[in-house]
Amino acid sequence: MIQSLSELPEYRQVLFNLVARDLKVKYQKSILGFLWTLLYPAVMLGIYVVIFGLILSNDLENFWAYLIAGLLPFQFIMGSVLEGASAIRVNGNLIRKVYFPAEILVIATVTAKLIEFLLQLLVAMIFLIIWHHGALVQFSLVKTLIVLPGAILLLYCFALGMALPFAAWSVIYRDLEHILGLSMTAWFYVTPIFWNMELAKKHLPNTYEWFMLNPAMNLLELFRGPLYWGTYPINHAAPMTGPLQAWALAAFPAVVSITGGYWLFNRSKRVLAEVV
Amino acid sequence: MTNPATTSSAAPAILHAREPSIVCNNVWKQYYFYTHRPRRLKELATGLFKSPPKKDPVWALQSFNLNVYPGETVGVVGHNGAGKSTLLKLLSRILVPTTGHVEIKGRMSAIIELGAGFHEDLTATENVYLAGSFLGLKKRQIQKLYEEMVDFAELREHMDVPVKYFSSGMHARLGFAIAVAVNPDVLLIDEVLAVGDASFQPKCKDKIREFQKSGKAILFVSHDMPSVKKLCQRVVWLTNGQIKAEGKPVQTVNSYLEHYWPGCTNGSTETDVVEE
Repeated sequence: MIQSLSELPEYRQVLFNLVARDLKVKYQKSILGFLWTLLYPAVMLGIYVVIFGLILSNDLENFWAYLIAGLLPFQFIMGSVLEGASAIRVNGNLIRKVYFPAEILVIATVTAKLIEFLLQLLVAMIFLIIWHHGALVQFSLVKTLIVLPGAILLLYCFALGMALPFAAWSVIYRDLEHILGLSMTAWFYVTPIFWNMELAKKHLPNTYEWFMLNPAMNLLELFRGPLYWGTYPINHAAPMTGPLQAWALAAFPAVVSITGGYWLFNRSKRVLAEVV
Repeated sequence: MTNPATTSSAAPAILHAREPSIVCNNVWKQYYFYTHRPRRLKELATGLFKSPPKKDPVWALQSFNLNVYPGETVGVVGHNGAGKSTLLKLLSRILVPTTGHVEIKGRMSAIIELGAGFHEDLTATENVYLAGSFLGLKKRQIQKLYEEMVDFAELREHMDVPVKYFSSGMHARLGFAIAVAVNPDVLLIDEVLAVGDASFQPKCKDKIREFQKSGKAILFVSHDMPSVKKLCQRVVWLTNGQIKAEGKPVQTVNSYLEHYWPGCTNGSTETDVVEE
């Protein structure tokens, strides 16, 4: 694993070209091009605001801002895991013809997703600066700038670590991509994105603390702190809330994911060029 | 078979005093055909954490030994499935040997199955940069070589076309041009001359001769027997992953041809190729 890791810096240029390729190929033949990156979450946001904000009304102030802060990072995880999982299978022709560390393909896919995510975040921040001034909640630019670099790094490590083993396994077991698709949908609903922990506390007073075990929720709390609450991150499922605890609860799954994921990937790496 | 150092007349013996550029030391390669499909989900779940299922093992290469010295061109002949492409893939690190040791000294460039790892949706220019980065070149280094590559491939007016619209001959020309432009110490060639047209083939052969003179090691896999006889100093005949014969090109190629098609060479031991 260490040996594989030490080889990666040589392939920076490959990574750069593959990321550029991913973004280029995806958008070059569409009329709206890169706008789709923004349009997709915007439409999802519109749907959720109407259904969960208006029809199933809730008492969250500026519900749209709450949604944005959770939806964008979660969609990044979802997109990274789903597209990352197929990254090696769809690039079989490269793996079979030139040597390079196969994980570069997964890293490139997740990095391309990261660039889209950053762009979405940037546009979202403009909206938050202009309109998110609630009585109790508000956007905090200073805290956002302090918190986001670390939060994005942890989110990236978490998503990459998840995508890596699935990328190797789905070369051998094609079922996995279908299972992943369903699992990600289920994960989306059990994660507080369009609902909040207060609601869970009300309906599940004895068991809500279990949500702390959801790594996605812990990571989303990092974003929601400065983007929605206007505070440093607070984990709303943790019994004793504080920024330090919120960071620890998010860092733990990220570190486990990236090290465990890369380790699992390296176990299957040798045969990829033969099987793909 | 006789010692290659005494048989290869075209390669000066002094070269063999140097270190070999290509070393294959008792290389074995076993393939598994992943024909079976997991029948039960339980099999999938256990398969993820164990090594991949091993079914129908086939030895593609057995106790294979080969040294290629700087300035030497070694041809590899054999029927389909004899292990020729496996050999090239092991040398280019795409595959990992089951046991044994493979080593390449210096920069290596390989043309395997015509393409050099192209992405079909990208233009020829973009693919030059992608393929160059796989060979370890920086963007600036590729820019320097770009003109030379385009001239050599004779594809100037097609450089903005996605390579999926290329004919197989154009693919091969671009692949060959990139592989030789990076000035490798070791060149691995698989069947590239087969699809080149009447104007490109002599160009490739001239380039190969130029490489021979400048002391590069070349491994040449081909079914084009006249070319093998003309270009190589030594020929290895593979059957079922093992060396059946090794020695002077004309004799080895003729005995290979006689083996499958008795009488085809009329027992001639001299080269039947008309020199240009």
